[in-house]
Amino acid sequence: MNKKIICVIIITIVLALVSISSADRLPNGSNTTNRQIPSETYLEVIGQMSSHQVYQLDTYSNGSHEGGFLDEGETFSSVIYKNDMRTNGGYLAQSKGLKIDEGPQQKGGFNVDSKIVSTYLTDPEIGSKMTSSDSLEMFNSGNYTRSSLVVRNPVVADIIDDYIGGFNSYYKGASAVEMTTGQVATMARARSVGYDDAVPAELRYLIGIHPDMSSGIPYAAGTASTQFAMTNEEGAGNTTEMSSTKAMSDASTVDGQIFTFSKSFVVTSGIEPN
Amino acid sequence: MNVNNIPQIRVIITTILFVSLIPSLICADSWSVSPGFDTDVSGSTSLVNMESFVMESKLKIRAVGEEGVPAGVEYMVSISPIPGTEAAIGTVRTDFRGFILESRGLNTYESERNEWRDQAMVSGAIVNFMKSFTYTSGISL
Repeated sequence: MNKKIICVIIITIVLALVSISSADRLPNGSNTTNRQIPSETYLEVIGQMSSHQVYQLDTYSNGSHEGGFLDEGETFSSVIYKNDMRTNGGYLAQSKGLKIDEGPQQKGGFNVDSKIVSTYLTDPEIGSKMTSSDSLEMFNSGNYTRSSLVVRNPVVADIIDDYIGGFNSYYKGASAVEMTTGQVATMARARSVGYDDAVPAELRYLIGIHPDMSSGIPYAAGTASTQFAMTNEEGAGNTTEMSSTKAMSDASTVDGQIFTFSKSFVVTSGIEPN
Repeated sequence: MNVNNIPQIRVIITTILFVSLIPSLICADSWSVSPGFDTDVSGSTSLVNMESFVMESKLKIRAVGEEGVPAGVEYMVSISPIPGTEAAIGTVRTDFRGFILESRGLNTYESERNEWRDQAMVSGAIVNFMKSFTYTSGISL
């Protein structure tokens, strides 16, 4: 008796989480202009492949301090991007690009911008697999500041020349995939350095899994999981009292024959001048 | 038992001789540059046991320039099959890394830390493997 468990999963999840809090102020970049493209890869191979990539950008508005405490008005941001990928045989076609700009950004610009598209087909003789994990994390922190910005606020009409509270924020978008056939696309972007206080912090993460039409197999086969998280705490005015905390997390896993799987996460946080 | 083993040993010796006689190539290519402000950027490519392939690599470094001209590095490596053949066979490794520290104004503490590392290893029948790296750094006043 042939025992076959056929698992057919059709999943289309589109999750867009947009959180706007009146919190993050990004550090401004220094006068240096740095643009790096640490890697741009085009690859087509039948065989094994492994790659490991780490990027970190830390920015202090006024230089770091011993002990790590921020003075009034100072801000700090840190972005970490990691990507690991491995195959133990089979066919792999990949296009991968990571762009970095450590200079100050306007709304719509990003300091870290990664896009990866991989198409994989197993070698059935050895049962080969592709495994990949990808994560983008951003941590922003700032002490309270006196601001001359006119801030939109539903309770008080205008806040002029008042204090904007201190804050700590953490954002994360991550995915892990193990597949025998299919196509995976990921996009990870973060803005951690801004021209002025009105440029919001932003993190975007997107993953899509589709069948590889050229292989003739109408589905992608494997396991995929995603993890999105956001925590934010704010202080009241120029005190050390907490005025607001927010936390959100989302985790999902799919396993089987995947026809479509797509998930996206967007978080922006900043001060909105009137 | 010993008599039975002799043909096997012969096969092993013949195989070793055969494998050692197949032409293969091992080569390495690396560079490193420090354009100032405590910056260190480097990259390397190494080929192990490549049998037939076309390799193209390009490196441009601007470390001395007029005022306002940013320091820059461009590196590109490409492995592809010899025209007429299907794939390049062998192992390629690449390793790019960089570490940058900056400070602001007269402050002696760091204001920016920028660190990356990228390693890749590809082994087998390579139809196309291209990796490029661009780095520029300057001052806008």
